[in-house]
Amino acid sequence: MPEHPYRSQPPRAFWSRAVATGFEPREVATGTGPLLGRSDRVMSAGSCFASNMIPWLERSGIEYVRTETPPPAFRDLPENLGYGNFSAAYGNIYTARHLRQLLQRCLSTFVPVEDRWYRDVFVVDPFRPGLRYPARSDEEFDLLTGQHLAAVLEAVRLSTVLVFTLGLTEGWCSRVDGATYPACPGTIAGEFDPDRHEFRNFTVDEVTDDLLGALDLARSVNPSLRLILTVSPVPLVATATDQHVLTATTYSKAVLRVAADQVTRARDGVEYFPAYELVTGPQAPDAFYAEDRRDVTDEAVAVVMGALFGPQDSGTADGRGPDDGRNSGTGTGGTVAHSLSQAISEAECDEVMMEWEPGD
Amino acid sequence: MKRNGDVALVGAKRPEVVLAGHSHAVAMLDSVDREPARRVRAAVLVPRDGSHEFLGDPGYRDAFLRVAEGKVAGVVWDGNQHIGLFLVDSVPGFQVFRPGVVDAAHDPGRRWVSEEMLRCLWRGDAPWTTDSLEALLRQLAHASPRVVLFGTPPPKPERLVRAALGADPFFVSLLERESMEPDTVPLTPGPVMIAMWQVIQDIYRDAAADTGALFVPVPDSVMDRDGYLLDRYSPPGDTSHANGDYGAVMWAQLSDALGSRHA
Repeated sequence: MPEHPYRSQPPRAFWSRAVATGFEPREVATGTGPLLGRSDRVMSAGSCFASNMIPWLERSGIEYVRTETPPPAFRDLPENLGYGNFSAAYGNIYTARHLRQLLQRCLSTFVPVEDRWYRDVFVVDPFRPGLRYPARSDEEFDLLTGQHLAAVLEAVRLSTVLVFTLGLTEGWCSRVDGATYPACPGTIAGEFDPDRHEFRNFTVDEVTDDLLGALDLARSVNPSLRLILTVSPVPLVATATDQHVLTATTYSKAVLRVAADQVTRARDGVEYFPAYELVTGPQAPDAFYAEDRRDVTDEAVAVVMGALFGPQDSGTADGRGPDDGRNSGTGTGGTVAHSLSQAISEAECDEVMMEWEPGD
Repeated sequence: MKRNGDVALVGAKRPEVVLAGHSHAVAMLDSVDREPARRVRAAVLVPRDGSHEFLGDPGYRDAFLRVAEGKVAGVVWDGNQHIGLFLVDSVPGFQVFRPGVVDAAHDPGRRWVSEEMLRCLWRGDAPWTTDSLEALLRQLAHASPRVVLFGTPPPKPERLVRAALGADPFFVSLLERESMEPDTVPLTPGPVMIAMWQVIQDIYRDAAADTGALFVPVPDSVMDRDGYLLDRYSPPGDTSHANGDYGAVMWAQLSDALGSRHA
């Protein structure tokens, strides 16, 4: 039998042995070993799919870096659109351009011209348009935004790994300075103005360049930072191109997948984790998507996270991941301070009101 | 004194103004016989059934709605939201931006919390929250020709707060259980307390505006230049409440407000 290069390939290289039969998600995910170790400190960013990993990560005993959690008394307040989900409160970052510009803003190398919108008494952050508790004045906006950008940079400094989930190639930008918004102005907040805002559908070269630029910026403050790239398996909710949303989705995901690959080749310390393939590949069961064929189910998330972190003992019975641990940071200090404050206040109020007695 | 079921009115025999409230209403009660209160023919509603909760008691609240009919209805609502949650400082500490509050912008170790987040913390349907206040003001508007919401006393300087904590054996023992002492227990810095108090006053101003009530603010004359309650308006041994002299000032404020409104 003649020798040829395929003879030396392992079983995982053959569809018949690795997909058609004996499919093992962990084999897809890791070629040479685990992507994350117990000593890692992980920061994540990206599309909404990126937040799925956090509870699994923490259950695995790996530290998820959080630098912008609210003080204890405020932690039970609801938040919008996942701003509380990530290492800092940047919310979903759908495009590589947005990530790059966020880091540029942190380092004061980019100051967007259109950096705030006004709505009623509020000053809205165009880069976090859904924040539930926006500023009420320009001064407060500057303080809160400055604090946010410092928290992002601190997360980069503290992390050993950044996991970035690429979500979209389509985005909305400022015609003035190219500032890239997470959502089209006028949808969540702001007003769309065709003279100021334009649609962009980023190319492979642009996405690659933005990812490399973002990585270089991050490594300028943390030279040993590793990058794990993933592509979100969630299709576009809508396209602004003249394409059908299905072909627009395919273009978008293909571009992101190729750009991710190019970045892994261009820089050391960059790896790709195939969440996209695990959920969308022909081997994936129907049940990995909900009825709308867009929302990824808990079952799919469990398979992806199992591939990334390995089996975990005590997932909940309904197949959902472990608690996300967002409240686990409530320190004793906060609880004691609250209970003491409450006890003192209540005792004094009672005392003052009891000083008046009938017949006085 | 005029009895009315489980409550009594203290003050003017045939009042034109009836006031009810939480514990800060006691400063108004303590001064209801003084000239500024007499000028507006004021009376304060007090419980006679052993209940010491004032507006925290549904019976007292219902009685207030009854006796306020046809009269000016004055409300002193809570005012201790910042004390009850934040008198003792938490880790990490936080700060709230308010224009002009001394030193508040100069503590990089404390996290900024948006004013809106603070406001949301105090909203909700619990009996003491802003939503409950607005519900009461709307109910009163059906019974009373004029509804008045009073501002509440500003924070006290740290030395008075620590003195008050040290003067009360209950507080000393409470702190001891957490291995703390009145002189060293970490307190939320004064500028942050003042910022929160200002937010509370704005919430009241907004609630009054939204319900057609008249808001009577706390005048600058009771505060020092940093915004703390002046010593002479602070009863000893109390971290938050003001005395009858402060109450008299607020009655005078009401008199002026009603006068200017009539004009």
